[in-house]
Amino acid sequence: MARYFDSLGRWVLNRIENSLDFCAYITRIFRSLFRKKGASLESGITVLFKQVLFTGVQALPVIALVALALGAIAIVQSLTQLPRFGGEAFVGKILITVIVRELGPILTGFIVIGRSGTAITTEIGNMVVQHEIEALESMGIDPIRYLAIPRIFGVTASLVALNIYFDVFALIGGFLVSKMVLFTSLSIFLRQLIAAMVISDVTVSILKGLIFGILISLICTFRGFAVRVSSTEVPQQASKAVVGSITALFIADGIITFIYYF
Amino acid sequence: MAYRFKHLEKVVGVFLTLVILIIVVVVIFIGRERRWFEQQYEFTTEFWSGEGLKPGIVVTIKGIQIGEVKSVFLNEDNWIEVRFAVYEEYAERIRKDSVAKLNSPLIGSKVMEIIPGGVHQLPLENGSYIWSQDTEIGADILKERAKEERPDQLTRILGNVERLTYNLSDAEGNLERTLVKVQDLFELLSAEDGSLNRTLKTLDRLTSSIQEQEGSIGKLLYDNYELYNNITSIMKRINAIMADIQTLSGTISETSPEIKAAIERANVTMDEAIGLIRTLQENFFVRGFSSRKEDVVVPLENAEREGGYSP
Repeated sequence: MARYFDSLGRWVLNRIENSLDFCAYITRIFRSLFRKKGASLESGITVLFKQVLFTGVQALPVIALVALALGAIAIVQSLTQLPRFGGEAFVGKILITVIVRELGPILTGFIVIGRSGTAITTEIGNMVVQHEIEALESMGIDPIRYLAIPRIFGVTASLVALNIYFDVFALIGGFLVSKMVLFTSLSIFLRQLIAAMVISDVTVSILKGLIFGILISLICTFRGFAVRVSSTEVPQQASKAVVGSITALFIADGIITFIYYF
Repeated sequence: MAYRFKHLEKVVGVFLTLVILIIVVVVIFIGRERRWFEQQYEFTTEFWSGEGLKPGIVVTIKGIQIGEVKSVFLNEDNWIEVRFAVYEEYAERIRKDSVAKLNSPLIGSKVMEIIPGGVHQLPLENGSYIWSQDTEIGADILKERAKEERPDQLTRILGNVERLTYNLSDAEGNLERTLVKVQDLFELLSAEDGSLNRTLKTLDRLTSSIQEQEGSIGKLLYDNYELYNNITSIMKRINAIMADIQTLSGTISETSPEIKAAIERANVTMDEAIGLIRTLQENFFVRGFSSRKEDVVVPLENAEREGGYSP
């Protein structure tokens, strides 16, 4: 019994310590962000561009493929299920709600976590193990300002952009299927989509992309810096980064949806 | 890796610029669809119940969207006050005798329908109040409108007649098609080598041969009632025979119990005689004089018939 309380107490304390570390990390990020401009931020611009290239541009084919398939599936399901109770008029609305609001940001977030999040954690973790962080600090370069902030901005910008591309490709997929099934023209399809779309659909989608990007990049860089000495910690932290990011993503998604609808 | 970053800024710039462009275009299209860039006229109305009423539900005239509800709230008189916007192009249709009413489609939100005012009334100004179906005046206007729009009996009959004549005169209609078919049929029948013509000629020949007493039918029909008289006399004789038979059957039925008793008595006598003859045949003294025959062997299949009639 005593052992059970021991382990429970240790688990809770670890969680609290982790949460405090994460809060301290966020504070440190804000402090570095609003500090007087230094040379490391300018050099960080290149890191930011590279991050956008890696996370955004290079992920575009995967995003396009997933989005086209999802759009096609969504439209096929809508066209087969909705006419049963006379709901054909809601095909556009369902497509917008499912893709633009919900699945678009979530699936883009998953792809970014799997592709870039783990890479960021592994990269920073390996730098810690090889004492490159210490080397940067010895040269007077703030590792947070040089390594973390450009990645946070890069991942966030990429996720917002990928989210928009995802929506566009998914709607193209939906159009291709409806063209084959219903012989709908592009102008009619676009008109139906625009009629079904409200500005909150766009703002919710962008907001979700923005928040998911910040959360994923914060968690993944934090897990990278959490590596202490051994290279065996790197995959462990990468795994924790993925689990933590997905959990944060779902919680944030639920909160945003809850705020919007209530 | 270096070549990949050669055009790093350009690639990333295009990637992000395209996103911004897409967002801007989508927002402009949504704005056009939602008529953000057009002037809208606001009107107010009141309903007794606010069930299903909420900001954003569409305002229509005869099913066409002309605006949307902006706000819904409970006023001091406990009526539901609804403020709604009407697009500029439809604003002049909201007149003094326009009435707002709520419709509930099978699926989806409620719809606020505006019954447009009469052409002789002036358009209402921006911010004006219009009556709803729940108000007394609004209900009266709707009743008056219904009376005006309801056609009287004669108008309805004329309308039906008009529809009927239109349907009958329709080149693609049933009547036209039937008449064409009847005409085709007549042409077919009146053809020189048609089956009707042939049948009529045959019938003509047949009737002439009957009239000239040729063949059995002609002779039968023109024999001065000889056949009829014969048949009548035969029928009389048959009737007499039938009366005799009836009498005979009555006699038989009356005497049948006596016949049955006589037969039974004869059977008993016969049995006794046979028994006596058998006894005599077995007697030592007279056995030599008997001409007794061996029993005939009856085949099995005839056994029942051979002995079946003896008691």
